[in-house]
Amino acid sequence: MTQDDSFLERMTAFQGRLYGFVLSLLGDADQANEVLQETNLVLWKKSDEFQPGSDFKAWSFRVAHFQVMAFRQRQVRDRLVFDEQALEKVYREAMDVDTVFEQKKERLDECVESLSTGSQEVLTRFYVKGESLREIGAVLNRKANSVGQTLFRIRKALIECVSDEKWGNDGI
Amino acid sequence: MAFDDADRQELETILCSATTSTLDEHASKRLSDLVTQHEEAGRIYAQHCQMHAILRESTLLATFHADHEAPLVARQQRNVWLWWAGLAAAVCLLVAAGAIASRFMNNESDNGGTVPGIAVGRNNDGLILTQDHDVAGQANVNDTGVAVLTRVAGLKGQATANWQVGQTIPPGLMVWDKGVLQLEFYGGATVVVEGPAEIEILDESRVVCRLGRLRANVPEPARGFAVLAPAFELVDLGTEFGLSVMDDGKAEVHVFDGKVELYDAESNRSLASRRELNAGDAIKLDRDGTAKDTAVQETEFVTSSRLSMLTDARRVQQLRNWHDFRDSLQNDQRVVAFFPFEKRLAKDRSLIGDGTNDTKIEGAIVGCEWTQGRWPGKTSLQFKRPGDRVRVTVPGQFDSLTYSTWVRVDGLDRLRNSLLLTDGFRKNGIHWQLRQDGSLNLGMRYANNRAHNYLTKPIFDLFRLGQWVHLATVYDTEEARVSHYVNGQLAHRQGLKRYAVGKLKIGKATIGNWSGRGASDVRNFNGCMDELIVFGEALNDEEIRGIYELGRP
Repeated sequence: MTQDDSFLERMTAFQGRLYGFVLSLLGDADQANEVLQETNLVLWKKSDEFQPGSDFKAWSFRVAHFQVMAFRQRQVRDRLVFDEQALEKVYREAMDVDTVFEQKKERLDECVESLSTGSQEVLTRFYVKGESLREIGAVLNRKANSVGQTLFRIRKALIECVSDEKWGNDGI
Repeated sequence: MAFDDADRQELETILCSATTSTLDEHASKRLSDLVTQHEEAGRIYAQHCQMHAILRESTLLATFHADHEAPLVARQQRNVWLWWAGLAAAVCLLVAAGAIASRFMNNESDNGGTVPGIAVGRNNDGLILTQDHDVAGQANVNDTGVAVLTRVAGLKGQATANWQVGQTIPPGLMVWDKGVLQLEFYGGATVVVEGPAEIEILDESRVVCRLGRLRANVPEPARGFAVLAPAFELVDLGTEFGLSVMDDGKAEVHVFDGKVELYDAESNRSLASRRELNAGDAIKLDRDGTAKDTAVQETEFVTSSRLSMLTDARRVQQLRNWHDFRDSLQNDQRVVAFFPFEKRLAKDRSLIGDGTNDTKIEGAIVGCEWTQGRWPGKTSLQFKRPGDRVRVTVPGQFDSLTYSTWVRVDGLDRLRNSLLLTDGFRKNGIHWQLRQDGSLNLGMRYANNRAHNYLTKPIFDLFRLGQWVHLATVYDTEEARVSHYVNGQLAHRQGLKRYAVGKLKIGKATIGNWSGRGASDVRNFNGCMDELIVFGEALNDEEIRGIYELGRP
């Protein structure tokens, strides 16, 4: 296998974490998508600079953070969710919660199973099928923002479910 | 300012739309204020963003698995693929499509997706997309090694404690004071080196010898194997030679078979400095490279087969020492169960062990085969098939427990690979097992039904497979901590988690697999086990180290 393969593998494995990080800093899903794509291109272009065996997280998050800052400079102020003070706080929290990303991901399946069928349907429609809140609302005969609230409650339940306190069996 | 209910409610209202649509100016301002003023708000916010990311990633995987063969409906992809587009575009430019396609084939041929690697699909727009499997990436591990350490005898020296037979050796320095070792280079050469020695392995066919006595066997495919000494460079043109470097820099080269070429050091193999030595030739070289003939002395250099005999003699001694250790355990009142894994001809389907107070514990062997253990003349049990297991019952209840075992792990085939698991996992469950990522885990379920995992970072990788490894885990109620050890060294220590209360019981349990009610997934161990001890008390670091030292092959 070549170095490119292993680099690509790492990069792919980190997509979720990078997305979570960038989304936290920007507070906007569309902006996060854009910056993640830019980050990926930079990571790939600079793959020579990455030393195999060194800390991929530290390196890739540094690149992502830099891309977020560059993006912010290009934007008009009122399109940004966070001011500088808030950004600093959010950065710290995002770095911190990332340390348990993989652990939470491992626990997710079982937690999703424990949700009601209705909640599972909303999850599937939104995350798997890519339907909008409005589209889901039309099917379920509900308003879009009520679907948004349902999604929020599902995420809240899942956050609690994957946390150490709740994780009560000999799972993976 | 405290983070009160009103703040929390406001934050939650904002979060309802934060990850799904764009926040308006007012909501942005409030979110900014909340995370600036309250650490908890920042934490909740970051957790929601993270969960959103996890859900996207996980459902992407789910989509992949479910729809692996059928093309995805275009509308399903919009959200999911969008964030891969940047990566995919970069990859398209830079990775040969052929390589990806061949991986795709490999992956499809393995229907269960148990072979880790990159699964690759193509969406309707023709973009090539890649996604990691969710299993530890063993298939794509880089091999940094260039040689395998295959035999050792009487090694002394600071660095030698961690050298294990079977270990993969990467390029680098090896220094030791005394003893002999054998390296088999990936290029095909077998090299036996006697200490005191200082060698530096450069790659799979080149080694620097600064000190030591070295004998190399270089068969046809390894021709060109080179040794760099302080005053010269030796290139082997086939078969066998000896080379020694003294600490004053003087060296000798003896050719036993075939021929070798010598060049001056750092001459870039210049023809002017080339010398050829044939079978039966031997020379002494000074530091400056001046040479003088001498007589070949083959016995001065340890051969591979002689080392093998030395190694065997050493092993006989080790086995004797282990027998003493085994006998000493009979007087150790802390032993709750001790399985030495010695095959009894008359009862070869039973695993006979010692319990407390001179009682015997008889385990029932299901499926497993007897095979050689850590030394010739010592047996172990091999666990291979999904049904292989040993059923045991360990009576009693304890405040603390120590588990100790010698295993040769041949593969981590399952998500969880059993060492010793109590039946099911209801109250009083104790699950000692290896995870597929190579970490060692102690899963505990207490009488109050609370459960916790105590696990190490991954300790097994591809290059530790096939080697004998000592594993121990101590559950210490008095010190309120769990400690994991690998080869006598502390690998992980953490405090007992909340709700960890009550006595520990083992009762009915299974070695190398999982049984009983609630045992749903297959957790068969792939490898050999040679020795398993359960102590009803917590052993300390030195005691674990002692068990390792006495039992290491």
